[in-house]
Amino acid sequence: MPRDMDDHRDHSQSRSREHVEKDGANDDELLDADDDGQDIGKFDPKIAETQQFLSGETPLPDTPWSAQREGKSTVIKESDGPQINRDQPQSNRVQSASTQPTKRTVSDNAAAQRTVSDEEPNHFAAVQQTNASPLEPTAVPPTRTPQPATPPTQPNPVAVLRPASVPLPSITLVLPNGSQGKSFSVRVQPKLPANWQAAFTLEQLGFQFLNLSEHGINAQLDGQEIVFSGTPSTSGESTIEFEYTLPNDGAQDRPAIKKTGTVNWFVNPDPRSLWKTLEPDPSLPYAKIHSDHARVSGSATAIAASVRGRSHAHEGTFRDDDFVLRCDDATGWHLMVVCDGAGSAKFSRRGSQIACETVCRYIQPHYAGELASKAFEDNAREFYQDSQCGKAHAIRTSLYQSMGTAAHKAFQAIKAEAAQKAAELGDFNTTIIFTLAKRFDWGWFVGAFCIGDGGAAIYSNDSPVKVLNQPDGGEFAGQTRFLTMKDIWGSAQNIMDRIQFGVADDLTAVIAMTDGVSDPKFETDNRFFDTQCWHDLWQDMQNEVELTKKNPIADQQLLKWLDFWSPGNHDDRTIAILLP
Amino acid sequence: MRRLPVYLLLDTSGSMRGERIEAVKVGLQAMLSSLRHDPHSLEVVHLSIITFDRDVKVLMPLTSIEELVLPELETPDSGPTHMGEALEVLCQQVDREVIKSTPDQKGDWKPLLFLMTDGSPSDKQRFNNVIPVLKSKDFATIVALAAGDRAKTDSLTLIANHVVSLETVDSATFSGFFKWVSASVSSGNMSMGVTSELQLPPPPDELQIVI
Repeated sequence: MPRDMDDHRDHSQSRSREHVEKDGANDDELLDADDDGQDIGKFDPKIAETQQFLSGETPLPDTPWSAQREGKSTVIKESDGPQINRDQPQSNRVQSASTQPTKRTVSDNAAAQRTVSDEEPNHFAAVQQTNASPLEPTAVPPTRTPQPATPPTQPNPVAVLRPASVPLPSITLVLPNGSQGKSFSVRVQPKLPANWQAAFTLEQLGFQFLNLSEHGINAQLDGQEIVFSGTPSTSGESTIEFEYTLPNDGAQDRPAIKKTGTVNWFVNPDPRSLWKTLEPDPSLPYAKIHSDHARVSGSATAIAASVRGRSHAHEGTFRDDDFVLRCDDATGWHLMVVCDGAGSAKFSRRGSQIACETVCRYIQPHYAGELASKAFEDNAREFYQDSQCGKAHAIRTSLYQSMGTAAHKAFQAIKAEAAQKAAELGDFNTTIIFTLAKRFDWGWFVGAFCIGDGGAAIYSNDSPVKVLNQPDGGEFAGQTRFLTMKDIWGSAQNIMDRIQFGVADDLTAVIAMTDGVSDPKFETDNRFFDTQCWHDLWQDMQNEVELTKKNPIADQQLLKWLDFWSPGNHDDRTIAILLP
Repeated sequence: MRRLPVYLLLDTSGSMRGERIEAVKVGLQAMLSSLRHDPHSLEVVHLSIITFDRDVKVLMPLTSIEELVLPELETPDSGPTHMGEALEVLCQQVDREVIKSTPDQKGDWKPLLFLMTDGSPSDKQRFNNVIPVLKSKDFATIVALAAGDRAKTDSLTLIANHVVSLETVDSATFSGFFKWVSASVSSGNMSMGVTSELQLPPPPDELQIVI
């Protein structure tokens, strides 16, 4: 028999075994069920009672009542006779007590005989006897509740006992959370007992809040709904109290009663007020200043700013991002490097720093080397004139030799540092994004080398954006690739793929940023390729930064702009901009 | 915005009834309160609660901390502990709720799972079958708590990265556990990288580390 058929047979056999096992599992269930049953023995009825009460499902605990009812069965027994159906039309139920005052004594007796431990039934009993409870002076006498005019009919002697066996209805309310300093505007429908829903508006029930103003909001009743509005000024959990009048509900011996209820309301704190700014432990190695900015000028001006993220300030950890800017006056090349050290790596702040420094040092000889060669300049010009000229590969090769080499030197430098520190290479994980730009007589040439998230682009006011990197993120947030990953350096093709370049006769800016900026400003990979999103970013920056090469404080303004607020985005932020 | 999905699987079988479930409620409240006061958690954590006894209930789908109002926990009088079925439901919920990155949307952080039981799975076959499915869901970490001396840890070690146990089960010890959960969740905001597994803060003394 062929092997795979064998396997099939085995499989089916194991299936049938599973069935047997499954039956076994059911036996287990029964056993466990018994186990659980034994555990119940330990359960504390007091807690269960509290739990039931807290749950709000039985608004008024009827346990004491029913217990009493069993205990005093001689008195209440009559009520076990023909019960009045709760859903019976009101007109039929209303008449009994008012037309049969003599029957009240039965009710009073029943009430009097109850030694009530629960406050509400106790109060109820008191009201029944005196019609004016000292506990509840506002109790409304039964006559005040409007009653449908119904002709007296055959009295039902049992009806008067009805309140004793039915728990008092109540109104419950759930309120969505508010947020400190944010407008709270919601419409809420409280839960009314089923038989009131069609019959009463909240106003008719005398519904009102007792302490709402303390919470910075107000409420208006609208039929059976409540419309809340206002702006809570303080955060935290609080209890909002309300009161309403229970209509006598057709049982004439039971007066209308004022009831109170509460609803727990939570107001979220303003997240901005929760961020702390803590200093890192001074004994930690590789200290780094929390924010940095720079401005360098050649034929164009490069500006950059970098800030420690709120999440790092909150934890008292260092900024992991870094950057470097250089203008090589002799050759006209402009270098911008931004690096994002991985938050999960303990020395990544040093990894990003080494990457910036090393690239800067090792790219230097290439400015006057093959990047200054006539062949490179010719290739670039030809590519500008016709992008199908076939010179793209030669240009890439030049960039591979310069930018690729510099990035590889950075990888080696970090590896050496890790070895010296007897640390893991991964402890220095960092992304790297760097651009090289130069103005030729025909226009701008911009090359880029990128590993990891964040990105770089050639931005122009009036033409489509030219993005210089491929997205490097994973399926889940926070997944990316790093300069420090060995597999990146395993194949020349892999390195080549990370090199991109563009040409433009006119450009507004070359922009490079870490994901601390690109995440909040672009959100998705596709939007990073959307020119409109770049226009929006540019406009957003221009509101605070005068983005011209002449502005001597452009970098300081950029640093200030970097402090923008974006929920959930509190990573380090670094951005570098070349302004021609 | 990137959300941090946190799933809580809570045993509500009959043996949890009474003091224990009350202790869990207190613990949940404490956890929620501390998450609300952590600025990053307040913005990014989304919490889901799934309970299991003889029935499995998604008591609360993924809900932001900002909007979250804790639902009521209920326990039946007695009955089996359908943990396997609960994990199946969990996997379905994760498929439905957790957003993965695509060119058009930013993915969530990897989800976290905290499971609490005071017994052991009654549906052992289902439990065993769901293990590989659970493993494929890419949780940043799975933490299981065995509460009380009847809780069995052998099944839990098959699914969790961290198994801890509580000898005495009361409000104080449960609060300790849930405080640890919230601390883990808060640190989870910051420290998730590509390859590194989520580093949990050290658990409180009352929790014994099984694995």
